[in-house]
Amino acid sequence: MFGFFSKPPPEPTPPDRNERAKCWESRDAYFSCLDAAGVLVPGQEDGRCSAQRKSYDLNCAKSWIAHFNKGRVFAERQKQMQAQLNTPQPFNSQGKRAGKS
Amino acid sequence: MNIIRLHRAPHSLRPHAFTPSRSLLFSRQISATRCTRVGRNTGKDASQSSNVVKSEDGQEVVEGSPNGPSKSTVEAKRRPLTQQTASGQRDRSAVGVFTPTAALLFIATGVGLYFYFQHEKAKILEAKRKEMLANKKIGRANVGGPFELTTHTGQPFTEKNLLGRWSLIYFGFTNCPDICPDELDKMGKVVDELDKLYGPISQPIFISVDPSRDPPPKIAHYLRDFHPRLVGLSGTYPQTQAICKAYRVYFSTPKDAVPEGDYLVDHSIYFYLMDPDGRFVEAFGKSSGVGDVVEKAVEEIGRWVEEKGGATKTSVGQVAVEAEKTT
Repeated sequence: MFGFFSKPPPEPTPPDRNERAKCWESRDAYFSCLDAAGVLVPGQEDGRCSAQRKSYDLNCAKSWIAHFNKGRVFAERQKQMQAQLNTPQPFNSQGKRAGKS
Repeated sequence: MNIIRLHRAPHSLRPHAFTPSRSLLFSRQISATRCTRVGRNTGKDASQSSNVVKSEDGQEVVEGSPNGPSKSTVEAKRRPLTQQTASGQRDRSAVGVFTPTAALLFIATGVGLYFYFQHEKAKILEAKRKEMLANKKIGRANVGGPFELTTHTGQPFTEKNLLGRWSLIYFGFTNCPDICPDELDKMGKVVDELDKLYGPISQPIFISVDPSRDPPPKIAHYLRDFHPRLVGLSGTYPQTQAICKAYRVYFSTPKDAVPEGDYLVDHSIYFYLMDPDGRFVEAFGKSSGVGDVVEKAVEEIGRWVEEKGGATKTSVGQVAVEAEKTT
């Protein structure tokens, strides 16, 4: 089935637990494909994960896809920032972080 | 002390020897002839005379002995102070209102009064604090208030329906991609845990922040995936706005949103624990696990039972009964 969004408007029912799980599954498959291809931003993979992308588009609402895609980039950026914060940089003689003079 | 007595003694013995010179002379004579303890009191005439006095009295009175002062020394004490001696000045300083004792008393009273008033003030503040705590006006966030919504079964639901139960309230929307279902699942688990411990004293509530797309039937459909006791509330846009304001919840539903629109609602993603009086207890974020929430709830319920004598007893028992009827 195509899920809730395949039904005609005006009364689309929100996805139930199964549909949500299906959407999340296809999202995870697509994202791990992007990871393998070394692509961070969805859509920049040049058709390399087309099968996963198709399933993703099919099982998730457009608004959800936009949300997940944004979330992926955001999470990655957050991870990088966290890593930067966690690696302590030595102070130089002026009490400033090295490399930021 | 020693010196005072030593000076007075000769005069008491010789009432006519008023001038210091004669007294001095007299004491010198005695010291030369009769004093037996000169060796010890070298250098000071006065001190020498003291020893004489004691020997003449025939009493071996030493300073501070249990026999008390000799007759002569008592007499000397009663004599008006006419001499400009060191002892005279000291005694005169004690005359009048401002004696050292009075000063001490004054300070002691002041200090005592200070502490007394501090104590009284603390007592009053404590009483006030307790009163405030009883009214739950202090120590808790000003979250909650009157609202009017509709349940997923079409029944009216107001803040009065929160009374008599521990409410867990989550704000979300049915088209929520990931966080809302996770949080509602978490809430359901918390309810199950609390049920095990206390029975069904808690009431999970879902409040939609997406009024245009979440009418009661749709919420009813959505809730089938979650805890059977979960109540789904929704209202008009102004009603939603009002409760979100009262509960300090941010949401960004477009005002002109259409039911068929595919959009997400940005909103605050914590859920609240409210006590049987319908007052705010705690807010839990995404990072709080089921265990964290249960722990906090158990703590609060324990405190509540201690205070009210029952896990679901409200401060105003009557209202709770009414609420029970309407739900």
